[in-house]
Amino acid sequence: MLASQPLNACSLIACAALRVSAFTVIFSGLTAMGSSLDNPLGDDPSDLPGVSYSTFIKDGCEAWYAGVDRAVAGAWWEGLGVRHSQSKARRGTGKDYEA
Amino acid sequence: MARSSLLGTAPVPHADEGSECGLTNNERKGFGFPAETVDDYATGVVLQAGYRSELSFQQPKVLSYDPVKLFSPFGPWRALCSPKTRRATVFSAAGLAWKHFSFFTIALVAGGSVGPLANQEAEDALENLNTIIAGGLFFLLGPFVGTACARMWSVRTSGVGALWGTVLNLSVLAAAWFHTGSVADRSARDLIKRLGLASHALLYKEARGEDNLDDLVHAGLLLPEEAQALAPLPSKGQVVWSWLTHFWARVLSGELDVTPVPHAATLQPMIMQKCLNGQDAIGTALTFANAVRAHLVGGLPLRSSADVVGTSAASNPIPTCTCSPSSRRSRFSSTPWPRESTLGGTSTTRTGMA
Repeated sequence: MLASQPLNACSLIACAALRVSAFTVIFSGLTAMGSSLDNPLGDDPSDLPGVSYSTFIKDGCEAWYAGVDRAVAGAWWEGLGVRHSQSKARRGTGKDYEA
Repeated sequence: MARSSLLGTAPVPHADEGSECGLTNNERKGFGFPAETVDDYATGVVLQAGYRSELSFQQPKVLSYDPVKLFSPFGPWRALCSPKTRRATVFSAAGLAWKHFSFFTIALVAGGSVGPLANQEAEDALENLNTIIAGGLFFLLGPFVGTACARMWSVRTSGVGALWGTVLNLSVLAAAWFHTGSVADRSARDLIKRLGLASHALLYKEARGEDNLDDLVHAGLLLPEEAQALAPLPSKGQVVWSWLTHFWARVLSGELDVTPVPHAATLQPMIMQKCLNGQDAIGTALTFANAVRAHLVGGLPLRSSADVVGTSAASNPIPTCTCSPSSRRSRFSSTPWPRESTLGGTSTTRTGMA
């Protein structure tokens, strides 16, 4: 029998230990992944970085505001003209096009 | 050194100043404050810095990584050796070493005691049993993890991503329409940004079971009266979207002093749909969050539902909000529209709101 030889016996034991180890790591890893992904809005390292996303949203909002404000303040695209009388009549106050 | 809030306008009390809530510098790192990042140059991983929230420590979260570095020949070993990056792997799972030791001990004792007595046929039977168990185990766990990944991605795209996109869409419309620089226009822009960020923060807080809104008040994302109104209500993030929907309805009907929206009647369905998308995104995210584990074991769904009911009944009615003392009698009737005075509006409308 192969296992009767000392070298083969050691190899068999090593393979069995490796198998138990691999199964344990894979099983633990899969359950840990499922547990970690269970609530993506929670406090695990793999969860979504909400504070950073919040900063990105805030930066985006302020970028839109700043972009339009620069265009208005700089009086860009003057060649397009502004229809003051029609905008006032249609919108009542006409504040938006007077600036 | 005191940190300014994300919006830059809200008063941020310093712990040394004896503020009402006594926030420490560490507590000024949550929602409403600029995010700090931690770079792990060895692995190319960038993490959002950790901070302590109401109920737990929010561990550093992975923002991005460099695939070239991480999947280089020594990348995985560098990741395992780096304390920063290892926390984002399964090797940081609690009790992993103890579980391994337990399994090895059981296998060693069983093999040592039964092995010498087993003949060839018993060994073959054990081998077959081992193969069947291993195959069955991964047959069950594979779909479970696949479902978990799919639901996480749904939360990311249909929940948080949709909310993110809706806030930015409404902001770009506000940027285009409310551009005169008047007080009302600036207030309207700020309101859309502030409430959008507040709904985003409330989504996370609700998913984590956090009821205290003091941090959002101190960060300037919520006014004290808003926090007071939200405190006893469920689905706080979606309530914020009802405020935003109400705000846009008043803008489109010409009740406020902001720059009139051109073709308001035509655009109203589109704006209202955007608001509903924001509210819907929060509902989608909260539906998927915390819903995966119930499918692992058949007996869990009923029990987890009962737990949820019991938990909400026990903790939701009287949340603590030391910065905004509640007044149940006049909570709804006395809640003013946020910064209404700066948005203007007709006297009839203000009377109606009150």
